[in-house]
Amino acid sequence: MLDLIKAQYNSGRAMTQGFNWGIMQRGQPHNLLSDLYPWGIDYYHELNPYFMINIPRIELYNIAKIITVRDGILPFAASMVKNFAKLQNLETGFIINPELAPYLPPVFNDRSHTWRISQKKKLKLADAPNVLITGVMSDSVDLKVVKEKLQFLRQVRKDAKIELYLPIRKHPLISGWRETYVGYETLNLIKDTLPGRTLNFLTSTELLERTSFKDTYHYDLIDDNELFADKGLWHFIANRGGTVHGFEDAPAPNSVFDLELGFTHTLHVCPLPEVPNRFGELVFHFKLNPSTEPVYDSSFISLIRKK
Amino acid sequence: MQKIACIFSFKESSWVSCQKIVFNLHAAYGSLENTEILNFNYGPQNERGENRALAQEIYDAEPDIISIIDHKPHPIFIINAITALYTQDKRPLPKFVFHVFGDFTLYYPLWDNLQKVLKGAQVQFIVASPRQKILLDRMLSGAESLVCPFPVNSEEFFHAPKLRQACRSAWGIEDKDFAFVFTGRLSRQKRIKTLITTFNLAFEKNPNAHLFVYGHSDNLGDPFMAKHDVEGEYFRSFFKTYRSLAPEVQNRIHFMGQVPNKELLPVYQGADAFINLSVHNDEDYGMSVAEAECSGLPCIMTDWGGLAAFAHSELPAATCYIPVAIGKRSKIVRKEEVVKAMNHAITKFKQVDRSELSRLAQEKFGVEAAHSILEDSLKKPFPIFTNFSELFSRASNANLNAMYRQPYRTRNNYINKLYREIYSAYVRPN
Repeated sequence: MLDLIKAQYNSGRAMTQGFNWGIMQRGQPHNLLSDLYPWGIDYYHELNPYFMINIPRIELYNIAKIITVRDGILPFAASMVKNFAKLQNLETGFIINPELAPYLPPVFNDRSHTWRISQKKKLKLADAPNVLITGVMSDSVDLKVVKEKLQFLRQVRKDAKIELYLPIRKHPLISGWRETYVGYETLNLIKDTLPGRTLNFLTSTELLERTSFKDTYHYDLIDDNELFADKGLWHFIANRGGTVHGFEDAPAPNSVFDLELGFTHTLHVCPLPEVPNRFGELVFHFKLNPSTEPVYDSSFISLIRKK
Repeated sequence: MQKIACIFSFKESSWVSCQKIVFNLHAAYGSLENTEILNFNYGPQNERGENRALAQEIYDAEPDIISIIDHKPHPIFIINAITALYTQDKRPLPKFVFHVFGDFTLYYPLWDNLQKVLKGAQVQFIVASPRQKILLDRMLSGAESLVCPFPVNSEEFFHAPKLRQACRSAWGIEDKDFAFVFTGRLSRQKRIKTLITTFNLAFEKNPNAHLFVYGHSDNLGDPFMAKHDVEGEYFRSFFKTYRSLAPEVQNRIHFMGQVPNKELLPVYQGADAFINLSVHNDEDYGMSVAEAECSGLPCIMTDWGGLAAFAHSELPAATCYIPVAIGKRSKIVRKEEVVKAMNHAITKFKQVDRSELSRLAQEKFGVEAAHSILEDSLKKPFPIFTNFSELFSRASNANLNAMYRQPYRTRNNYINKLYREIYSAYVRPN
C-alpha cells in the first residue's frame, strides 16, 4: 500500500485539477456541498482529496490510484453502499478518517489507510488576540452540543477581537427549508459564554476574501465527522496563518507517510485501525430498503447513528 | 477653496497593498492647499438604497471634484447614482478623478457601462506607473492618463541601518552572509517556484546565500493564461520543488509567513536585496518594491509592468532587471537571467549607497511626491471623456464571453493577439 501511496504522490493526479472539470461534472456539485458551503471548498494535494458523494460515477474512482476521502461517516457509507455491487472491480486505494473505518468495505482493507492532520506552532486560545467562531446554523444543530462546545471558549482573553461566521442554512439532510431559531439561540449562547464582548459578523465574501488569519484562533462549532470529515475551510484558514482548533496538536506517532499541506499543517497517513466492520450490516439494510440517495434516507441515517 | 469628495471604503481591503495605498493616497489629498476634503464611505456591502443615499450626500456637498481613491467596489454604482442626480436637476457635473488600480483589466464590462454616464464630463484617469499609462492610454480614445505613483509613507519605510544587526541576529545569519528577501503573496504569477529553483541553481554550493520569503500562499492562479488553482495547489507546486532540494539548500530558504507592515522595516534593513519575479497581470505598480526602495534596499525585479518604474538613473546600481517576453503560451522569465541577476546582486549590491537610494525613492514615491503631482494636476482642466477605445471594446466583449471561451487564448491554447495588444504595454519595447 505504501507503494500505491508513493505512486499516487509522484503522479500528483487529482480529481480537483482543472482538466478533470468536465469529467467530474464539477458544475453540478452534490447538494450537501452547496448546503455546507464553504466547508466543502476544494483543495489540492497529491493524494487526491475528494468527496465520494460528489463523484458522479463509480468508474471515475480509477482516475487516480488513491482517494483521500473528505466525506464524513454518513456520505461515505452511503456512497459505498449505493455502489456495493461494483466495488470488487475497483483498483483504488482509500485514505479515510479513522471514524470511517467501520464502514470501509473489507475488499479495500489491504489498500487503505487513515489520515490525520496536525498543525504545528499553534497559538493558545488564551493568548490569541483574534478568535474566529464558525458554524452552520440549521435545524440539524443540537443546541445542547453547541452549549457544551462553547465552554472551551471561556478562556478567550478579555481584549480578544471576536468574529463570527454563522451562515443560516437549511437542514442538510432534509429537502425543504424550515424557519429555525437555531441561529438566534446560538448567538444567545455565545453571548452568555462571552458576556460583554463586541461580536463582529462576517459574510461568506468577507471570510473568503481574507488574505491573513495571522494571530487568529479558529474554533468551529461543526467539528464532528458525520457529514464532512475533511473541511476545506480549515485548510483555507491554516494556509493564511490561522490556528485551527480542529487540527491535532502533534504529528501522528504511527504515520507511514507525511505530506505538508501548508507551512504549518501536515497530513499523516496511518494504518487502518482494527475495528468491527459494519459494512455488511449496511448492505443488508440497503438491499431491504433500496434508495437512490441513502444519505437522505432517514432509516439509513438512524442505522449509522446507532452505535 | 475647492472641495474634493474622496470616495473610498472605510473598511480595509482584503488586498494588503491596497489597504496601504488608499490610506497613503488619502494622506496625499489631505495636505492639498486651499482644499476641503470630504470623505465618503463607499463600501463593498453597500446596497442600492445606501448608494442612492450616499450619492445624495455627495450631491448636497457640492464638490468640485469627485475622486475615487479605492479599487473596490467598482465605482459604477455610485457614479451612476451621482450623475442621475445632476442630470435630474440639470446641474453641470463635477470633475471626476479615477485612481486606476491593477484590477482595471478585470472589470471591462463595468467600465464599459460607465462610459455612457461619463461622456462629455471632465475626467482624469490617474495611473501608478508609466507602463500602466501605456496600457490605459490604449483603452482611452484620445484622452491621456496621468502618472501619480501610489505613495509610500516615509515614516513607515525609511533607511534605518541601526535595525540591521538585530534583524540578522533574529534570522541567525552573519555579516558575511547575503540575504535575499521576497515579500508579498506567494502566488503563481509571482513565480515563487522559479524563485526557489533559481536560488538553488545560483547558490547550491554557496553556504552564505539565504532567501527569506514573507507571505502566505494563495489560489489566484493565472486565469488569463487559463491556469486556475484550487486551494493549496500552488503551495504544493512550489513546496514540492523546495523539498526536492538538498537539505543544506532547504535550510537556507526560510518561509517566514506574513508579518504586519510595521515589521517589514527591520526586514528590509536586514536584507541585502529585494527580489520580485512577478509577471502578474495586475502588476500596475509594485507597492512592496516601492517600500523596499524607500527603506534603502536594492532590488532585483522583472522588467514587467509597473516594476519598470523603480529604476533610478541617478543610482543605476541599485536595481537589476530581468527581461520578460510574452511567449507563445506564457510570459517568459528565463532562469539563466534570474541566476545572472542574483549573482550580480551578491557581488554588487552591498556597495550601493542605501541612504541615497532611500532618499531618491522617497522623493519619487513618498506621500509628498504624490501630493505635488495632485496639487499641480487637479488645478488644471481635465480631459473631456468621450469613450473608451476600440481595443477596450474588443477586450470587453472577449471578457463578457469568458464563460464560454478564454478571452486571451487561441483554440490551440496559445496566447492570442488581443492579449499581446494589451499587455505589450507591460514589456520593454524591442
